[in-house]
Amino acid sequence: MSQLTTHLAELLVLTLTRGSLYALIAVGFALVFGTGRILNLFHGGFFLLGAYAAFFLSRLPPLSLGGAWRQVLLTLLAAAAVGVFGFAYYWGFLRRYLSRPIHLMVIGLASNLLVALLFRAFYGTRAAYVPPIIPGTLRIGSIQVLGQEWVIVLAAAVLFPTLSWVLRHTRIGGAIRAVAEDPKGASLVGIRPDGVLGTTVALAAVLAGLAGALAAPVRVVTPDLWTFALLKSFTIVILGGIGSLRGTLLTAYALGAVEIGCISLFGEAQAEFFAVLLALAALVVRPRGVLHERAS
Amino acid sequence: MSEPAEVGWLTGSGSGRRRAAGILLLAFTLAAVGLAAPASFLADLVGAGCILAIMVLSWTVFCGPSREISFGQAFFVGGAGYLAGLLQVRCGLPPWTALLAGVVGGALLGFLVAVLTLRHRGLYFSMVTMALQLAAYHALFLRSSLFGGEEGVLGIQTLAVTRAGLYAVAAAGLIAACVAVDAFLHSRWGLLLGATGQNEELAQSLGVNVPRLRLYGLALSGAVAGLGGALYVLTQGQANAELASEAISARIVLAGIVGGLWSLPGALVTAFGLQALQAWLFRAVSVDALIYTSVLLALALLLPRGIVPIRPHWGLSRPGRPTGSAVAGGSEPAAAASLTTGSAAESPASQEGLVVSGLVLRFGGVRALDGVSLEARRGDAIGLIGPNGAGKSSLLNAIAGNLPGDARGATAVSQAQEVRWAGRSLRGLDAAARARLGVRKTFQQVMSFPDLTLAEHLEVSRVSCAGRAAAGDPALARLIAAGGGDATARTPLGLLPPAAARLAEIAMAVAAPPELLLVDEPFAALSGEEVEAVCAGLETLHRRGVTLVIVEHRLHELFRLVDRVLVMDRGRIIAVKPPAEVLLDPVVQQVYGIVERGDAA
Repeated sequence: MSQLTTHLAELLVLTLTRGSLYALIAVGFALVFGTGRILNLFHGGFFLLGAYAAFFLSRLPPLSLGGAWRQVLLTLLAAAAVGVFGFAYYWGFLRRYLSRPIHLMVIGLASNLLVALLFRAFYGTRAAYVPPIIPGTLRIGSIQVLGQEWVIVLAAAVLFPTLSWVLRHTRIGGAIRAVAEDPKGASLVGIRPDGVLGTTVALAAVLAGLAGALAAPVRVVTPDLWTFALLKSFTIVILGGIGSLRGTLLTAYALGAVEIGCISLFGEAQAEFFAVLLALAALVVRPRGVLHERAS
Repeated sequence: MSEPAEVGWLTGSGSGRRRAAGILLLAFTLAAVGLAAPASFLADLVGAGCILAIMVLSWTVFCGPSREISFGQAFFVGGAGYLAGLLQVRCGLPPWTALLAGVVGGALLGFLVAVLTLRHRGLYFSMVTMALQLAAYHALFLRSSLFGGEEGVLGIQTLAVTRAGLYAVAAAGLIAACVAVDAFLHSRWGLLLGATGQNEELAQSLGVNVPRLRLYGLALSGAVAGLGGALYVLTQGQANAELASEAISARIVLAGIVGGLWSLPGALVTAFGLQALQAWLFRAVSVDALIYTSVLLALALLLPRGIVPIRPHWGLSRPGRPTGSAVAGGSEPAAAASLTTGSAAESPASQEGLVVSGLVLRFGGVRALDGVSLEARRGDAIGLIGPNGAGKSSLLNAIAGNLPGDARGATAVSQAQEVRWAGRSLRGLDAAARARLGVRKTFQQVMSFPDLTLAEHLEVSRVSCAGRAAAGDPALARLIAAGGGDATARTPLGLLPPAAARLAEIAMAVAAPPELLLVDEPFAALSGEEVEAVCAGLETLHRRGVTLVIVEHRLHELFRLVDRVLVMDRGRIIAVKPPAEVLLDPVVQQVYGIVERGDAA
């Protein structure tokens, strides 16, 4: 019995850690898409900025001393910084192009390239190292799971119930849901759709920045990291559809499970390809998402 | 006819002769560069620019008119490039055959995209193309033995041995691409694709076969991109994964948008400009690509319509189309008199008119139509009145074949639907197919192609039904349209008052063979004078022998136009009367709430 059970447990753990990271990355992207019906392709850039913000903060003297709490603090600071940036990005930039969703895609894509090039120009392509919050590894069965990966799982476990509560029970959460349902209707009852969208973009930036800062210690941080984040967000939103937080989270973990299964059977390259193919098939057959349901 | 001066120095607009001159000029310039400075840095630069320009043109040819934004151009470029390279290396094909295979392969990939995106528009089209590019890119890493992984395919035999030869190949490729793209943009396919991009529903109601049109456009786009990709691979001697990456797609999209969506010169100028910028920067320092992307982004932001925002004119400046000149002199009665029943005088079977029997239409639990039957002979003019929600518009839509619901996911179940026109069942035909049979509809909300002129509207209508034996009636169409303005004017219809668009709509319906016209509230939102103009247009149609079914709330004007009035209520026809008697009918009075008043009096 033990071998099979251990193997399954391993797969489960791997799915959990992978899925949690995917969920953290994708949820903001899905939220913005659902609220404003725009694809903010700069989401990958938010993730990248989070990772680099954590890196640069970790080299500042007071924070560079190390220790779990300092690391937590710098992770949160990085997320907040990206949030502020996202807010400014929306009001200074995105908002002017809301009526042209496709133009917006082009701008997002170009912004990604630009930010990546900025880091490349001023820091180079060498990998940036960020120390983890919990160093070392934890052994489960035959696999080693990094302490930082447990932090990611923990962050997801704390964050998503909170987010769900915010969306359901607060004023801004109600406004976001109202605009997602019908921007015109929302504006008739005194909600400014573009203002709400600004808040959503900032929130998405915080989440993506947090994901980037948390993932920095376990991933190789290079200027091209934005493609990873964008690809995963894109895939999950296509598969999961828009309009429900639950759907996005479910899809993120499901994608993690599929990839882990694929990797254990075939290999990393096959898993990447299969994930994209899945998204393509979903997009062609059900453009509004496999799990599409109305926000309620 | 005096035309404003145009910027037609290079195929952007203007007559065919001027466009041909533009392409010739380009060819001479390229030849001059090749001869004056063979195997120089400049020639290499221009050669690379040619290949980039081909890729940008491939984007412009479909995305310009259709207003879609393809993020998957690297899918075509990479797919065709790898195909050509692999065929050359693995199968030992001669380079020129491999190039041809690349072009054909690109066209097939375009075909694939058209099939996959039958129902995808706008954002969703962009997303599918993006996903395709990503899938292709990741597929390259699946079998390193075949695709060579990160390294790519190496050792490909090139199309020419010398640098000068490679330059000549690239330049010739660009000229070929220019000719193909220019021919398409200025053909009736280009015009129809442009119209479809502006208002797909209207184009469909005119009989445009949208899926086929997009298929042609995408296949050409794929073929041209394939030419670019295969040329790149067969001049560089290698294919690497970069060719299928999102960076290539992004560069092409940015250059396409910056160049101006419709414009061939814009695309060329941008491509060469970018190539020069890139070459200059890469020779300079390492901050290279940063500036490059910033410049692109800034251009895209500052010039949302591109640097040369011209769109083509479809050769309409050419005078002397036979029917066109007749209008200028002919006054309305004369024209109408000469236009006896043209298309109606066919075989006896087609003398049969409109027959609707037992039509039932349900939206969920609501019965929008509850067993409607009606008959109209050819040339009849029927009015359709009734309170709001009676099912008048639903009836017109059911006849025209554009039932709402399918698109929005609401379930429109039509049972026992039997609509016949001219002895033919319309069952199973979509709006475009019905339009090609002569069943056309105008919409309750005024519809137009906002960027096209009136003359172009008529041209869209005329060519959308090409292939039918009976010709339309451009003379009549212009006559009707003249009520709303000058048919030769160069003002886009989007800038004219709604009455002009309404008249254009009616005129478009007859620029192709007019047979049955379903008119939904033609007078809505028009002023008194405008109503008169539209009325006159409809009367002309009636005299011409077109069968009319008109829904309208302005009874006074309606009764002047029609021979019979059908009254509908709650999905049923409750009365059929001549106009003079209809309001005296007790059932009608009850529906309209006239009964009490009548009793009181």
